[in-house]
Amino acid sequence: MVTTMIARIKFMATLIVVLSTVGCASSSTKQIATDLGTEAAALAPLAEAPLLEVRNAQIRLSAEQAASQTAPSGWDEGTKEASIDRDDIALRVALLREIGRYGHSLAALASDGELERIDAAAKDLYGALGGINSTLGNIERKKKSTAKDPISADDLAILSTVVNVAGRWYFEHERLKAMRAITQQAGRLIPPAVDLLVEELSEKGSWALSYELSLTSTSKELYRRGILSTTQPADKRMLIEEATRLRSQAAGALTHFSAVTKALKKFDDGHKALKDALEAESTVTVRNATASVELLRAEVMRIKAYKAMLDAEKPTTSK
Amino acid sequence: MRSYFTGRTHQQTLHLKVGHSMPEKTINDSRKEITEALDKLSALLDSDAYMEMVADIDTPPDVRKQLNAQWSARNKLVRALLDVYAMQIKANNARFKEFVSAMGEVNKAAEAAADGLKKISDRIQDAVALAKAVDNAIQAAVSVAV
Repeated sequence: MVTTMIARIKFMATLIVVLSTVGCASSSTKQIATDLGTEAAALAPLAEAPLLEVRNAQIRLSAEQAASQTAPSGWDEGTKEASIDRDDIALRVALLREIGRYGHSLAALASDGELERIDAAAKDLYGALGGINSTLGNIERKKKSTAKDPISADDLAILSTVVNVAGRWYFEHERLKAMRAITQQAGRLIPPAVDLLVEELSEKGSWALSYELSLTSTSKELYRRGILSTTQPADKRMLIEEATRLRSQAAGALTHFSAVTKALKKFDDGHKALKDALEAESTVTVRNATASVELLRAEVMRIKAYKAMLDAEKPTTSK
Repeated sequence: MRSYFTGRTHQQTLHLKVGHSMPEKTINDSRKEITEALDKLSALLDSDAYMEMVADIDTPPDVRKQLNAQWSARNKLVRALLDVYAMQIKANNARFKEFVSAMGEVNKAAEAAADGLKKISDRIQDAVALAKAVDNAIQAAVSVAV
């Protein structure tokens, strides 16, 4: 009996060690993926608003020039309102949204929601097998009152734990494989895409300069109209105040874009770090060994907790 | 027909609208040239002396006409510069289209992988359902036998 128990414990320990150290994404890598994914998903709507503002600023400039009758003559009707059109914005927003969608996917892949489902399923399996065991035991006891259930409660718990550990390992193995493949595929696209976005959206990029020029020009137009105004002093003051407001808005316009480009660069750096970390996990390194120990410790703790949970909910089986 | 200060023809405008780029040197040269001209004119038009002449009702009509012409010239330069920025933006549209499409493919693969992972826990759920069905079948068989 004691020999059997020792063999069982050895088997469990070996299984846990082997499964924990082979082909699983470390918790830190999963955390990087989750954080990165969450940040990327939040970035798209933040970057979309400034792009729309650029076009709106151009339209406002056209309207103010028309109101002042100082609009340049001979404008092409198609581009009268703004030289940046909706398609230009839509393309950049589409790319930012795809990056955001990618962030969502990364976070979903790194999420432990499915692992919780595996835990719950393995626990249900324990209950279901316990049910069969009891039914079979009851049949046997009708023939012979001292008959035991075919399988002991401890063996059922071990079986359920093995299903849980193996299920989790297979899940982690598949997850690492998928994340590695996807980050490698995205790794070829994200750096040049982010470079292009950063080049356009930086403080010296076409969007920021266009925005600043539209705002300062509108401000000058309003100021001039205020100076020339022969109507009520209140109207005159309103025009000059609005001109001043736009001038300070123009000064802040560049920091608006700078924030977006900084976030994009961080995303690119973070994605590269994630890709490298996932690739490194396929090789045996000191860092990996340390990580594996940590992983093992965490896994053992988890298994202990899982076993304790099973003990608490052990079905009544006669031995 | 040519338009704007830059003298682009309608054909050139159309060319830009469909996503073709002018040579990079031409766009950057235009940008530099217009920016320099705009800076020079702005230095004059933003001065207090200019604004005082504009505000002075005694400014002679011919001088006022000249002031207005200068202001209009600046607006043309502003418009031309905005147009050059837009050219640079439109020149990148084709690359953005490619990135959007390629990222879409990556996302499809990522979503398929997430579905694949979900199936792993589904398989254990299936085993649970099977075990429960077996238990029910045995219990039913026993009750019939009794």
